[in-house]
Amino acid sequence: MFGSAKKQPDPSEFMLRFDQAAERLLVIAWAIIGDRHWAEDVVQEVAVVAWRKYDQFDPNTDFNAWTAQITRNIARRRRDHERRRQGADLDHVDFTLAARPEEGTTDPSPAAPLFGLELDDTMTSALGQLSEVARSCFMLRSVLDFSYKEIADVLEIPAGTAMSHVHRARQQLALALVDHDGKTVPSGEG
Amino acid sequence: MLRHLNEDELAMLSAYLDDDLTAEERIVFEQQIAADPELRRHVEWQRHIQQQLKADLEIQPLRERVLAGINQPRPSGRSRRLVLVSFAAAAAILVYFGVGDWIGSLLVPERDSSYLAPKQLVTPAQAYRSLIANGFKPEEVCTPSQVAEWTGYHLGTQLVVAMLPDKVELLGWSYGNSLPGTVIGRTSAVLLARVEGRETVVLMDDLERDRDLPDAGEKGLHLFRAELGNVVMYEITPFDQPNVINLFKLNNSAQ
Repeated sequence: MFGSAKKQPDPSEFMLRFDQAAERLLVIAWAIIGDRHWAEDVVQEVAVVAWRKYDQFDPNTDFNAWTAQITRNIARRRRDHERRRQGADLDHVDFTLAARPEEGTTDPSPAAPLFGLELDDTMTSALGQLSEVARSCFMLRSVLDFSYKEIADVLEIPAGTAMSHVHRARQQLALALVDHDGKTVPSGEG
Repeated sequence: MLRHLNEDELAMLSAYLDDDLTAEERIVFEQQIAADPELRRHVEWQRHIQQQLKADLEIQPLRERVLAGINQPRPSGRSRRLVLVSFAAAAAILVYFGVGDWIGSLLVPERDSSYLAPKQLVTPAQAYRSLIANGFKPEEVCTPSQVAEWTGYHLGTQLVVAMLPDKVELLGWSYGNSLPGTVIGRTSAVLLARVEGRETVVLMDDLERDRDLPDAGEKGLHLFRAELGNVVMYEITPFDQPNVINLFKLNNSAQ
């Protein structure tokens, strides 16, 4: 009758921890499914699932890795479900940004003089062609400035693997730029 | 036409972006960038991508979207674009009203507990018996042609199946966290196969996480070990010789 009562999880503690993890989860979800807005829905679902399971979470383990794994599972299920539904190519992700400047407006990026809107298509296309894990590594490194050790911890892969994925992603993006420039008629000739 | 970067330039570029160059190397590389417009374009391109992605992440504070979503219980599944509510306010509301009950009633269906890390060590035989007791069904079906992609992602090393004998059937993959406890690690790849119709399990993991398992832990079951690249493999089998781990090879065509 008076056995040890199960301790109720503390919602404020959970939310503080989730808040600290949320950005990396968004990046992981974004890398897996490609769509920035859709990734937010995934992270929201992760929050609810993680909260439901929080009483089973071992506090001696890594909350970030735990929620990252939930994120990967949910994002992959959603992505695969959507691909099957659309009969889409299973090896390709349509990578999208959240928002882009309207045509004819100024690109807010400091690199705007060098890279216009048409190159954003090159960028998103090249990102979409990376493998899921390469895109995840690259984005955690590029967007959140994660160290390779941090990437390895959160994706549960060796740090050397994370580093080689980032390097190869940069290589692919460099190739995409060369390819783009090779197809582009230099200004003044058109 | 913009030139391709060679391997050395790519390595330097990558180290430069990672801020991994020494002060002297950085100065030299920056001088090269200044003198070489094509190299400069490559550097700016990589930075442009980084800036674009970062800018996208900052469009709206994620915490507000996510936690406001938790603050709005809904009776059924639908698209959830979120109302902006500050994190502090959401947290305070949740604490005040007792979040547990109504979060449990939110729209997300109950999922299995495979996300949770197994905590206790179990023997290979216990893992094997558990998989059979649960129907010996993989979480992901994987054909021999998909082995390279799958192992490349999960293990960082692409493996291929040289040739599949008629007596061997690959059913697919599960994960270490689907087992009743830890054999090697919770992220181990678990390959389910049948050899002459009998269940056979192969555990694969990063060599760094190898536990040097001594035996299967049950009379009548055998344990065989092999290494390929950075991957360690254990076959749990009722046969007195391995039939599956010896089929794998490194994918030499992978980058």
